[in-house]
Amino acid sequence: MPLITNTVWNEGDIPTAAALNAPYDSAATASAAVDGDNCKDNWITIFHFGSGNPCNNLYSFVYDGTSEFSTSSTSYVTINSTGVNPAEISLNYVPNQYEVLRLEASGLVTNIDATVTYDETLPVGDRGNPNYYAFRLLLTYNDGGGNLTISLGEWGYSFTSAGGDGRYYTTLPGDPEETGVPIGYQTFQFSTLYPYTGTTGVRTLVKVELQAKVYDNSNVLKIDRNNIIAVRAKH
Amino acid sequence: MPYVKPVTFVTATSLNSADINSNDDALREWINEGSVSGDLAADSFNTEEIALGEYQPITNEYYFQTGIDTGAAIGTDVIDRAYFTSHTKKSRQTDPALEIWQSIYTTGPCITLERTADVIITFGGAFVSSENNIVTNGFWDSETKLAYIYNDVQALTFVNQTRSFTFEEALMTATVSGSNDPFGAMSKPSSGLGVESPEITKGLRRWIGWTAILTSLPAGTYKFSYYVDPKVEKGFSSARNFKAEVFYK
Repeated sequence: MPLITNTVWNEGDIPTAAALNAPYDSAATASAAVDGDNCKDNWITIFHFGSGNPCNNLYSFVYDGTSEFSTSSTSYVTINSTGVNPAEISLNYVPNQYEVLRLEASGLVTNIDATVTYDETLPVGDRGNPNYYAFRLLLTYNDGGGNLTISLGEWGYSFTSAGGDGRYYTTLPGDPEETGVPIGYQTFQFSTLYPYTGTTGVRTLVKVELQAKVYDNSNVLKIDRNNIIAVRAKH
Repeated sequence: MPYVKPVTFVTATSLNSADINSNDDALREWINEGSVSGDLAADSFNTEEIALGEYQPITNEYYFQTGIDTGAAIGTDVIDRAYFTSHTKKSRQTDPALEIWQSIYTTGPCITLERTADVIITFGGAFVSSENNIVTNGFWDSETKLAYIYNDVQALTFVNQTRSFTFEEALMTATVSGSNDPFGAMSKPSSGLGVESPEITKGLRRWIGWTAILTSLPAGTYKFSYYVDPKVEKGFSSARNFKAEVFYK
């Protein structure tokens, strides 16, 4: 324990060299590794944090323009509104064990083209599936071999408002069904956490992508502004 | 660098005051200004060593050494509605190009940054744009954006990554009047089936939600608010909430 010791001298004591050296040697040892035992509570403030090694690291991708990304893909594709600037953030760091990566994403669905929102040829219970589209956050990581991916979550939305009486919107194929009015220009927004429980130094987090897909390729999902925010909470 | 004692006392050698003073002076210098970050042991300081944060209950703000956390939430009570209107200028309703941005209260904080920081703001709100009575063309779109005023610069700085729209809840017999069609490429649904229903117009409501990041904002005071450029005679936001997080760099 790096606390400084000292000899209490009494009248008439003859000091030894070892006793005289002791407090200075103790101070020298403690000074090389000052820790919580040497310090008062509440002494660390923002001014003591090194600017090159903050407690949190923030990463972000922001597209705030009006170019639309369109997709009819039934498998996930990375949103790329301008064609040259995919919605992804580069991480490229090695997390410590029990570190948490927090992720936020949001955007604006714009001029949707919802041709099919109901399919009576599908099994009962699945007939409303064409109405769906979804987003996911895809994490790419590397454990020493090739890059691998893991889905951090999927978030589903529908092209039209919920079903109910008196709806106008009709769909194909099959008989018209009341699946509500189309919802263009609705926002999407979600968040998730990725806790890393593996061994420190093993995994490299490479990047996170914001992706989208539709259930039925007759429908077109269009997105303009979108963003991803990641907060590395260091452990 | 760590303290190094200048003199080592040796047995059977006369003790003199200069040697003791030399050791004490070196120690004093290390304690006063000589200690550096390299002297601090790694992984040894915990939350008790970090200065406590402060909570300001009036403004609901938490101040921490690494940043600020604040937020607010409003329910659906009528008294809490934040109204907006296009009637501040007589030509406003028929001139889509004329922009008049109105602040919606309880949609953003006023934050004083003590140093350069990244700021994350998360927002969600219910917006209603009632049907116009005077200019009855339907489905006007009112654009909404986060904006802020920095220090005494009174111009708004818009945050386009928050751009959204609230649509006039007109009957299906109306035509689309705004720049954006709330129904997308399919345009207005056929009105040939069923009966006009309140549920139809309420299908025009959009919950507006976004998370925005503003990076490397310099120190200073920022008055954030969500703004609307109204094209309806009466619109309002009812339930809404926001959260702002400041990460000092």
